[in-house]
Order: sequence, then C-alpha cells, then structure tokens
Amino acid sequence: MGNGNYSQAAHEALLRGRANLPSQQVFQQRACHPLMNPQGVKVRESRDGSDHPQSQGIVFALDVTGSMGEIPRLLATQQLPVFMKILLDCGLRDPQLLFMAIGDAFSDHAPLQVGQFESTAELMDRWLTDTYLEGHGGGTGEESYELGMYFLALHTEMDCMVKRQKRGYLFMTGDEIPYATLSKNVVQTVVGDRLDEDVKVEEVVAELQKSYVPFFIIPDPVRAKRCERRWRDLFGDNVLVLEAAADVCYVTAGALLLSEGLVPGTAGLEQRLQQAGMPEPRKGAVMRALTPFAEVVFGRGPRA
Amino acid sequence: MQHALMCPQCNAPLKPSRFARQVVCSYCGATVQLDESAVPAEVFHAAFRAWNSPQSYTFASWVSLGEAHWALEAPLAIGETADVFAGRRARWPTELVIVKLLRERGAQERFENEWACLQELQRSTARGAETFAALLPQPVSHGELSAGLHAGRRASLFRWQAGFRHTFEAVRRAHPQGIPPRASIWVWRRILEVLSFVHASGLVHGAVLPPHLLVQDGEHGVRLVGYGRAGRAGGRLAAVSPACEDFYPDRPKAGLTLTPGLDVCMSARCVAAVLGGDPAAEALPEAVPAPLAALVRRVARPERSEDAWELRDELGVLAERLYGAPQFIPIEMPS
Repeated sequence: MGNGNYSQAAHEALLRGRANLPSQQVFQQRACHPLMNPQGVKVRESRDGSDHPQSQGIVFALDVTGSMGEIPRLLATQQLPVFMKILLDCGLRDPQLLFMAIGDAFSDHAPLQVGQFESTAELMDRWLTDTYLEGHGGGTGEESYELGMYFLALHTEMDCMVKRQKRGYLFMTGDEIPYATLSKNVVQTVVGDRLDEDVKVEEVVAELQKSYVPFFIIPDPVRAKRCERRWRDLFGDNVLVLEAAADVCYVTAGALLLSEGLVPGTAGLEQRLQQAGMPEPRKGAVMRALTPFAEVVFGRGPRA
Repeated sequence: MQHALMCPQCNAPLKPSRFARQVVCSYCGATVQLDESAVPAEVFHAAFRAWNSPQSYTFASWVSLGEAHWALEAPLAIGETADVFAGRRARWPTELVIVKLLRERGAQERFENEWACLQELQRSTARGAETFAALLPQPVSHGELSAGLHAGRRASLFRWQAGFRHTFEAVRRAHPQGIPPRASIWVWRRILEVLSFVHASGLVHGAVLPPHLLVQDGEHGVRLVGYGRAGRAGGRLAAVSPACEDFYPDRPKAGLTLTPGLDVCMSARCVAAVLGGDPAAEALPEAVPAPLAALVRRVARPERSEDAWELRDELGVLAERLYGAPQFIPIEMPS
C-alpha cells in the first residue's frame, strides 16, 4: 500500500466541520471493520513508489479503551494534518502512516485492529475513522499492547528498513501497562499465528525494536502514575508524558524530528513547532514532555 | 504439518527468512515447505538476549542490577556515604538515570531508608500528590549490584532530571555576596511546597541542607534530595551531617525530634546562606529588605514551629508587598 501523494489542503478539507461533531459521528464503526481485522493477515507493507521513493513507515497504535478515546478524536478532527505538516516542512520526505487500534484481548470484541500504510490524506483519514472505538478495556490496569507490538514485529515490512536499514516509528498511546506475557492462545485467536509458547513482553519489545523506534505516549501526569515506570522499563526515555492530550501531535512530531536529526537542538525544535502553529500557552508543556528524550539525543546539560 | 524448525530429513536447524514459504536446508539440501502460521518463540527469546546484552552495544563497562544492566558515566558527586554517577540503561532505547552507590557500609540503614521513604512518597495520596510527587527524586531500581565494576555494592537508581546541576553550596560559591533577594522568594517557596507535601504525607526530611538542594538551570525550580535521614514525624533524627551543623537549629544536635518545624527552620537557614548571610540569619546583607530579613530570622529560630504551606503563603504576600507581581528571575550560574 502507500500509493499517491499527501495533500495538506485535501486533509484539512476532510476535517473541516468535524470539530464539533460527536465522536459517534466521526467514528461510525460499531464493530471491527472487516478490513482492519488482523486475523490471517500476513503482512502490512510500507513500500517505496515512483511518487514516494523514500517511504518512511510511521505507526499510530491508539489505545481505544474507554479512558483513551480523546486522542483518536483529536487526530481525526484537528491534529493529524498538523502532524503531517510538521514532518513535511522539516524535510521528512515520504511519510506513510498506519493506524492500529489496541484494546484488551481478554474482554474486548476487537482487541486489535490494523489499517494499511498510506501516503494520501484520504486513505489515512479513512483508516483512522474506520477504527472501532470499542471503549471498554478490562479494568485490570492492563491492555493488550504486547499483541499490537507482536503484530508490528512479525507482520509488517517497510522499505525504509528493508532497503535503507532505517527503522520505522511507532507511537503507541495508552494509560495502562501491557500484560506481562503474550499468550500464544491470544495470538492464535486474534492473529491466527501458532506461537509455540507464551513469550514475555520484554521479548516482544526486543523483536519490535529491530524494525521500529518505539514511543509510548501517556496523555497526562495523573495517568502516568499508574503506568509510566513499567513503560520506562521497556522503552526507557522513549516514554513521553504529556501534560494534556491536546499536545499529542506536537510531541509525537517533535520526537520524530529529534530522532531523525531534523532539528539542530531543542531551541530549533521549539521554533519549528511554533511555526507549525503550536499555541504559545502549550509551548512549555510540549517542551517539557520532550526534554527527557531530547537529552538522550543531544546529551545531558543545557542546550542551545 | 509440523513446525519447521528442524529439517525433517536430517534434523539440521533451519533458518527461514521472514515471510518465506519454504526454506532449503543448508546441510542436506532438502526443500522444506513451511507452516506459514507457525511462529517459534525462540525468535523472541533470542531477540531479548541480544537486546538486553550490553555486549551488543558499545558499552565498555556496566553494572548489573537484576536483569537490567546500566552503564556508569560521569561522577556527579561524592556524598557523605555514597558516590553519585550519571548513568544510562545499557540498551536501546535507553533511560538516563542517576546512580547512587553506597560507599560506607556502616551507613546502609540510611541508604535503605532513603529508598523506602521515596517509595512511600511516590505512593502518597496527600493533597497535590500528582504535582509534588513528580518533583521528588523518582525511584527506578534498588538492590545489590550482581556484576560489573562495583559488584556487591548497594545501589539506588533514580530518574535523571534535566537541569538540576547546581547545589546550594555551588550557588553560595558562585554568589558569595548572595543571590538577588527577590530570587530568594521563589527559591524558598519551591522548597516549602515540597516540604508541605512531605509533611502532609506523614514524613519529615530531617536534612534540609545546602548539599541536598539543587537549583534548576534557567528555570524557577528547586529539587530537594538526600532523604537518608527522613522518617515519620515524631521520630528521632538518627544523625546530623557533621559538615553542616550550623544548619540544624539546636545544640547539641544529638536527639533532635523529627518535626515539620525542624525542616522549615532548616529551609530558612539554607535561604539565609544563599542570600549571603550566616545560617542563623543573624547577619544578612543590607540588600535584603528588612521585612524579608525579619521573616528569615524568625523562621530560622529554633523555638518556633512553622507550617510550610502557611509560610509559603505568607512569603507570597510579603513578596507582593515588596516587589509587586512575580517576575522571572533565574539564578545565574557559571557554565
């Protein structure tokens, strides 16, 4: 997948008038869309093409349990064009986005939904809004994030990695911890693979990081209290704690720019985000969320 | 159909590439059809072994705590009983940390106490916990190092917090005439806010001293560290810091009781010191406005027991009267 070119204007046109719609009208699926069902899917591909020769795979894995519906809504009604604008303005050539939805394999009807890597605004928007916001979750403090990571590790292939040995990006949002173990029964039921034994979530991350730069995004500090430490044990300083969910596109785009070396320092990053329309009152919160990762990229200490 | 991990003809191991439908045995040449839905867990086990091994990266040395390996970087401080280093998880993605290694075996109780108190504070449900718990050292890991350069030493790891490099001791050295009195307002208020949360959680810090206070580069932030002497309110202060005796309110020091007022009194003495005065605030520079000097002196006296939050509010009122609306005045430090 991934044909066609991205158009900012087309994307903004799609979102026009959506901001005030209730979520049920933006996300109209009332069950997993058949094309997003991962059962039996062999591979989702991010490929180069004549109109996008330097494809860069980017995955948004969105927690769609009850407490996390705000971020899909923000992306679908306001922020995805901003995210794309920041990347393109900063020189990332051919981003291809895949949307994935994560729930709870032990209590949800659709614990994993997977779209396709897409280059055009229309198709990105289609997969995002075809996502079924089941809105439940198990109430156990855990969600099946490890299942989503398993799918990405084994069932995606990206030309950025295959041809250029350059990892894709994973931005996974959530406010719970993953299950400690990925059950082989869950894998068979949801994906169809016959894993010969259960594997630890650390082992899934180990396989995932071979082809993805993983980030975990927590929407606010209150929810960080219940899951941040566990995610830092897995993703280290690639855990980004927002102060408000509304910062999500600036923080994710900022992390990608830092990782790609597309900004010379935190001051340069701040300037880029401001040029993209980051509201002045959000500047401090966005930069605070990015500071731990920026220190890994640029080294400790004050930065220009 | 069986899981195709071994060649069914010669039992040699097979290494199929991702998404391959078949593989040719490198030993006997047999072509083996693969069960496309079969996934060997060994793929994940092997990935973890490689990912978690410091040898997979460029680390020259590391220390091990349980299953986690940490590379030590620049030494940051030599404390009374522990050596403090910058460090990072010896794998990718990494996590930046501060590593405290216990140096004096005799101080192990204090070392363990610091970890226990900080864990307790992270679990606190006192008012403002979601804000103030984040302003304390964030526990990462703790225990005895099992391998590496410092094997056998006790270690506590905390998250690295950007910008907190200079202790009040360093501030005193950089500003022997004292920091601007107006800046001392926010400095003191930040200390009192954290103390108020610590006290509301039922604990007393017991060592609010210049080496345990860090100012943030270019921001209005202060961190209180060094919780080794912390304890429940009403308990006995186990020991005093010999190098900082003047910052405790009583002589003789032995047998001090841990009270919120003790912490508040010591905070005033630290503020007096960075204002360029003596810890008891008997001699403060003339630049310090008289009402502020009077307040510092009052709180620095041992006989009073002040409440941290009430004092914070009182300080805010005084600051507005003296200076008007708050202004951004970071403390300048040499780079």
